[in-house]
Amino acid sequence: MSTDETYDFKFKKYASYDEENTEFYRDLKRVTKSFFYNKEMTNIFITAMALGYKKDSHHPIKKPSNTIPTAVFTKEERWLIISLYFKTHPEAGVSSLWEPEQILKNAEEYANGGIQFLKMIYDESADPLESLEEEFRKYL
Amino acid sequence: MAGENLRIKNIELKNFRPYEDVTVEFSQDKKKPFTIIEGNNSAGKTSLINAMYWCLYGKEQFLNDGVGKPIPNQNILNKVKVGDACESSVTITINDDKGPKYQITRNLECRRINDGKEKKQDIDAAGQIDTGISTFISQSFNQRSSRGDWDPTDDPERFIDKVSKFLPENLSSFVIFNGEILNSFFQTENSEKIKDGIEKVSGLPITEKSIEHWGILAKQYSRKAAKSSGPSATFLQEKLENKEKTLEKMSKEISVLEKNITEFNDNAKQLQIEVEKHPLKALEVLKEQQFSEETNRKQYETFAIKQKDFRTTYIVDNFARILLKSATTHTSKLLKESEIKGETPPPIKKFFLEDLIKHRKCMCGTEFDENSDEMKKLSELKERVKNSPLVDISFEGKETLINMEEKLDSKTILEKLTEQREEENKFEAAFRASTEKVNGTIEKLKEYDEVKIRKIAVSLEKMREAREIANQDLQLKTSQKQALELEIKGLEGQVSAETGTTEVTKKWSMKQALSEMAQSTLNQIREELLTDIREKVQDRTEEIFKKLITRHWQIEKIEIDENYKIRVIDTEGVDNLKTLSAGQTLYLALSYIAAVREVTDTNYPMIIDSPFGRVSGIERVSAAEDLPLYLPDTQITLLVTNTEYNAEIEKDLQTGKHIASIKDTLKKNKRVGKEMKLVLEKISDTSSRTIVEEVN
Repeated sequence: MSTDETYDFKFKKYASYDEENTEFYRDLKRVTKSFFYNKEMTNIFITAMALGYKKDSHHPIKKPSNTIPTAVFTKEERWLIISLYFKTHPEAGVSSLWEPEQILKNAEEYANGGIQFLKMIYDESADPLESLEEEFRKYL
Repeated sequence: MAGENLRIKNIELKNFRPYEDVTVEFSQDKKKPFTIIEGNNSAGKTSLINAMYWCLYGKEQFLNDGVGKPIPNQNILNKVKVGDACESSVTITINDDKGPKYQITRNLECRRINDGKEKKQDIDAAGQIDTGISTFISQSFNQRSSRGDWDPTDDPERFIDKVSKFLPENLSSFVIFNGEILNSFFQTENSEKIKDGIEKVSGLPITEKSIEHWGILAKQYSRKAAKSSGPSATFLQEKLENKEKTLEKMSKEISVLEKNITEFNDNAKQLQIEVEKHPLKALEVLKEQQFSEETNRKQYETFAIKQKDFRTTYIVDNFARILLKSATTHTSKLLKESEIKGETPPPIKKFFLEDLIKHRKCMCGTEFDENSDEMKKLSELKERVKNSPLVDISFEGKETLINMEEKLDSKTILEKLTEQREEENKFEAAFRASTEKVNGTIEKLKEYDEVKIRKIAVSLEKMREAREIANQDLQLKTSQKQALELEIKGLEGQVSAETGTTEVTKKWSMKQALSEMAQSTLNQIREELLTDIREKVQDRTEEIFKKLITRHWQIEKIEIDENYKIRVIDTEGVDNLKTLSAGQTLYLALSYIAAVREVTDTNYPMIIDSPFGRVSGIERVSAAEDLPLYLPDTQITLLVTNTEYNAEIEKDLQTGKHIASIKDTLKKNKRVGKEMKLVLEKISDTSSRTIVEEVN
C-alpha cells in the first residue's frame, strides 16, 4: 500500500445471503404485512446480522447470492458491519481495516445465522411488527 | 241475497291455474262454521279466491300485476292440438237451509285454430297465450225456483244482472276479504264502493227509479202547460229545458271534480305519510353524513398507516444499532486508543502541513524560527500523515460512531416507541369509530328505497298540481253554474208569466206541481233512509269495535260520513284511523263488515285470505275467538299459511304469557267443521299442480 495516497476502504461490490434464503428476502420486501415492505435489502441484511450477533448464530454461506449492492450501505451500516468484526475478533486492531473482505464475510455469516431468527419473528405472528418490537424491547 | 242464510257448498275448479280437477268442500255445520284452507305461499290460496271472483265477475281481483300466466293450466294448454280445445271452469254451489239454492258457473274455452306460437295478451284468458289459440267465455246462473226446479240463465247480460242482485261487486270485499290489504280497506275508493253496494242491497234503487220517474212526469206536464199557453211559452219552456240540461251536465262535472279533489286529497295524504316516513331531506342529511364520515375514515386510516410506517422505520433503523451497541462501543474505544497511540491521528491534510512549514507558522498564527522545536514537530507530523493511510476511514468511524451513540439512549427510544404506539392507537380507534358510524349510516340508508321515495315525492308533486288545476276548474265551473242558475230562475219567471190561465193550462200546471212534490218527498225519504242505514251501521260498528279492542276507553266514537268514510275519534277528538295497529284495523274492518251485514240483513258467507298475516300476539287469538260472535250463523272460511295457523308464541312481548296457535284456539272451541291443505305437487321439472288434502 502506498503511504502517500489516501486509502479507500471499500467492500466488494455485492454482499450475499445464502441462496436458500432468496425467497424469504424477497417476501420480506414484497409482502405488505412485512416490516421490510418497500425497504432496502441492506436493511434486512443488517437486521439479520444484528440478530445473529445477539443470538450468537453465524453460519458460513454455502451458495452466495451476490445480490446486495454494498454501495447502498450507509456510513452507519458500514460501521455496524466493521464494529461487529472488531467485537467478534477481539484480537483484531485497526489494521484489520485493510481487510474489508474479511469484515464483510464475517457480517454475511452473522446475517446468515440471524435470518433464521428473523424468519421466526416474521412467521410466528399475525402481526410481525408487533413481534419485532417485542424482540427489540428485550434489548432496551 | 238479503235475508237469506247462505253457505258455500263447494267450489269445483277445472283446469284453473294450478288446479286441474279439484272440488273444495266447505263446512255446512252451523255450530262449526269454520273451514280452514291451509297452504304455503304459491300453493294456490289466492288462486282459489281469484277463481271465485272470476266466476262471479269475470275478472280476478287479487292478481299481482294483472298480466302473466293465463287462467288455463299451462301444462294442459300446451298439449292442445290444432282443432282441439281445452276448457277451464269454476262452479260455485251455494246452499240455503233447504239445500243447493244457486249454482254459478263460468267457463273458458281455448281452441287451437293454428300453430301460431307467438304470445299475445288475451283478456278472456287473463294472461298471455299463443296467437294460434282463440278463446270463448260462457256462463250460467242457476237458481232454485219456488217450485223446487232450476231456473237457468245463460244470457251474459241477464247473468250480470242476476249476479249483481245476488252479490253486488261493490260489496264483494264484505265476502272475500284480504287481510294482507287491510290498509286499503278504508280508503275513499273502497268507501264509495261500500256506499254503492249498501244502497243496492237496501232496496234504494226502486226509490231512485220512482224519483226519476216523477221528475220525467213533472217535465212532461210542464211542457204541456207551456204548449197550451202558446208558441211564446213553448219557446221559453224549450229554452229553459236546454238550460236545465246544461245545468245538470255542469252539476255532474262539478260532482266529478269534487270527487276527484277528495281523491287527490286522500291520495296526497297517503303519499305525504309515506314521504314523512322517510323524508328526502333526512336522506340527503344521511348521505352527507356518510360522505363526511367516509372522508374522516379515510383520513384516519391514512394517518394510522403513516404512523405505523413511522414506527416500522424507527424500529428497523434502531434495531441493529441497539443490538450491536456493545460492538460499536468496543470499536469506538479501539479507534480512540489507536489515535492515542498515533496509529490513526486526526486527519490533517499534507498540503496544509507543507504550507505551515513553508511559512514557519503555527496553526494559531504564531511564527517559528526555522530550527525551532515547533518546526521539527511540524516536519515529523508531516511524515506521520504520510505513513497513516487509515486516517480517513478511522476518522469516519470515530465520527459516525459518536453520532450513533448519541442516538442510543434506551429510555428515549422506549418513550418514543410508546408515544408512537399511542398515536397509532388513537388513529386506529378513530378509524374504528368512524367505520362504525359509516356502517350505521349505511344501515339507515338501507331503510330508504331512494327510487321509491323519489317516485312518491314526484307523485305527490303531480298530485298537488292536479289538485290545483282541479280546484281552479271547480271554482270556474261553480261560478258558471251560479250564473246559469240565475238565468234559469229568470227563465222560470218568464215561463210562468207566459203560461196562460185557461182550465187546460191550470190542469197541467197542477199535475206538474204534484209530480214535483212527489219527487221532492221521495228524495227526502231516500236521504232519510240512507242516513238511517248509515247511522245504524255507525252505531253498531262502534258498539262491536269497542267490545273487541282492549283500549276501548280511549275511543270516544266511530263516525261514518255520508260517503261512508270512517273516522275513529278518540277522547281528544282526534281521528285515530291511520294510527291503529294492524290488529285494531282488522277488528275495525270486521266490526264494520259485521255491522253492515246486520243492518242490511244480509248473511253472506265470508272468505278471509291471510286474516292474521299482519296481526301479532294476543290480538290474533282474540280475533279468532271473537270472529264467530259478531258474525253469527255465518260460514267463515280462512285461507292461512302454516305459520299463520300453527305458530305458537312462547312468551308474548307485551304480556309475557304463552299464546296458543290459531289452530289450537279454534279446535279448543270446536269451531272447525272442515280443514284441508293445499299441496303443490310437482309433475315435471317445469310444472306442478295443486291438490287438496282433507285433514281429519
